[in-house]
Amino acid sequence: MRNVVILAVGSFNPPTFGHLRMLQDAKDSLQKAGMNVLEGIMSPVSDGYGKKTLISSDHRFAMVVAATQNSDWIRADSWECSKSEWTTTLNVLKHHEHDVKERFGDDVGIYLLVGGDVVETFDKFNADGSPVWKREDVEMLVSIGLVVQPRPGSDPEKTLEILGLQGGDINVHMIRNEIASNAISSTRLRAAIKEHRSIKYTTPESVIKYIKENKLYE
Amino acid sequence: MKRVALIAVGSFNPPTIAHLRMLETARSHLEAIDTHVVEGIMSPVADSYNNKPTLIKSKYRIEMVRAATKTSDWIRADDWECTRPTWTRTIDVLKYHRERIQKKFGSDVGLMLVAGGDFVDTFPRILPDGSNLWNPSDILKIIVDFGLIVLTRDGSTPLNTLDSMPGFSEISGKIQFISDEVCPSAVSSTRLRAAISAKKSIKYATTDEVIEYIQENSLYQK
Repeated sequence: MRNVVILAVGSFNPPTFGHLRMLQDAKDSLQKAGMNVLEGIMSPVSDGYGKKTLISSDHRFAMVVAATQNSDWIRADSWECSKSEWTTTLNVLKHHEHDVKERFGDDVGIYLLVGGDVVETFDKFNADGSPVWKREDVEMLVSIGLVVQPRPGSDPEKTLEILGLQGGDINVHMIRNEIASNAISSTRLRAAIKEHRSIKYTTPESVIKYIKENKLYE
Repeated sequence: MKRVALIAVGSFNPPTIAHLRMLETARSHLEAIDTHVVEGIMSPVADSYNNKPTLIKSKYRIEMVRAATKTSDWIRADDWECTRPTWTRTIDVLKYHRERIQKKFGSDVGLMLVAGGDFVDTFPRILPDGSNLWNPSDILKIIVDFGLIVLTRDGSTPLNTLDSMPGFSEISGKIQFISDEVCPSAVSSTRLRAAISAKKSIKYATTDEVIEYIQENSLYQK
């Protein structure tokens, strides 16, 4: 049986049940395919990512710690967000691949968890005509490992087919039968907090408590 | 300020984050229009409701609702309906609770039913024996005398359903339709049961307290 680790990257601004469910669904799906999932890592993006709505990574990291405190396999990791400048997703993945092999052994694999909508951007172009992704970066990502959550209206398998990314050296796992494909978004949570609407049951109690204590997103 | 209590009825087999979000969303909606919500009640249906083999005993379902509402400071589980030996019509469940609520909080306090869009879709349903699932006058009373808040979800068509029922398109304006912008969740009890029997994780799809109770009592294994 192959031992693997799942890496989830994002703003986590704030973390929601949606993020946590995605990890659970990815784990179940990989285990069903005969793999043993050793660990899940949630890595908040650095403040250097530069989005206006992004609150300080100290808070975002603390919220991911709070969100995962009841999990026996998911943990928060601060490597990425403790850097002042932004790190590309590929380099975050490479860092953790190295780290995981050091901690668990050379035969342990790593999967980057992404939504199907992210895979669809693999062959897309920016407004200035430049490709969103470098071809060699995409090739590297799919050979290290991707675990993909389906999204309504997106067809990630089609995109991979168009790009010719199929065959033996491609390590892409599609999540099947996820039980809570919900659309809880951090953006909506922030709006609700601002309008004093309840966010109970959208994220763990520990996260709600942290947000209140630190008066975040008000 | 207007004051109301909210009630949600259902199988809660098991309760999910979606049931709880439905009540939270209804409360946020009412508070935003200056209506104070004094209490929320979740009332599981009695075992005799139907002979569905998937409906587990109410003694478990009520405990799961208690576990689900443990961290809430306004929603509670109520076992009056599910401890009665026979099935109780929803209108009678509402009458009973309105009386209790008014004794507890004052006679000005109303009781409103909160339901998902799929609940409204059951209004015209005919049972296998040819009789109606709902008495049309019960539906009218629920909407006019009590008040109905409907959380719309993808796939449910409450307005079309009401329009198709003679005499109901006029009162559909009395129903308050809301949607959960924060968390338009697709979590369902059916999916949770399937996941449990397939030994898949249900963490974060319902509360930790409910998951603990399900595990301790080995519910939904098959």
